Amino acid sequence: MSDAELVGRLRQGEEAAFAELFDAHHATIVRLAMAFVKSPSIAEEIAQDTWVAVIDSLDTFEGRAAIKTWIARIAINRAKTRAVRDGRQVPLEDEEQPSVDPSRFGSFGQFRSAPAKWDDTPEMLVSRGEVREAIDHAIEDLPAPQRAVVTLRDLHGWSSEEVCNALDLSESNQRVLLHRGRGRLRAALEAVLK
Amino acid sequence: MSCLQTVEAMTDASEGALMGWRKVRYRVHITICPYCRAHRRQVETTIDTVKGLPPPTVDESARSEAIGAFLRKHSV
Repeated sequence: MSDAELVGRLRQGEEAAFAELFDAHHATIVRLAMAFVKSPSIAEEIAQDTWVAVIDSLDTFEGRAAIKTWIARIAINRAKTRAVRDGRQVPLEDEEQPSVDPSRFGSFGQFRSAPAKWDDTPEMLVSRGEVREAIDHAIEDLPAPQRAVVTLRDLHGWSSEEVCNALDLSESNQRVLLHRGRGRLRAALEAVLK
Repeated sequence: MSCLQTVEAMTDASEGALMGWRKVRYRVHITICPYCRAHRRQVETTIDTVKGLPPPTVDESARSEAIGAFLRKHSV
């Protein structure tokens, strides 16, 4: 269903259309909010506030952006405001760091030893509790900008263009954040597979 | 291109953002370096594992509260 059709049904007050919208985007909103506020219960509160704002503003939605981008922007604004109110610093700049431990490379930038071959498939890995836990922790530890990008790109399958629109990032900045975020998750997985 | 530079260029490569000589040097290095190919497989496995994580469970009360707010808005 196109955004225009969905918005039409929502404006007519169709409950099933709203339930569909909620089911499609609630988890994304909660996970996005977690990038800024960390606490799951506060993230749920932000998600509720976001839905209230979405409901109140549906009549003013102009369809210039995709509805999911519009909802994400509302959620991010609310999460940032809440983080500031709670005294949490939301870094606007990302920390610069290499994606692989520099000690793994020799003086000419060559790998000192072969990266391990991982035998398990992603399906096998995701079925292991300690792997899920390690990745969850690594995601929690990501700086907010990296976490927001990884959340949308890898956990929710958004395109780079959608992520740039939702987070107000340039394509190149989005790639840098994605690269660093994925780098940290790879390192976390490597640590658990040793 | 060194292994270090190749590793740092991997996301640009997978996003189709490598251009010109950097792209050529990346391709040459990946072709001849088994270590960088092994690292790239680790990155790909990581991404696919993250993509396979189960979605968080939705709080049913949050769902009914939001639907309730929607219906109230449209009943006035």
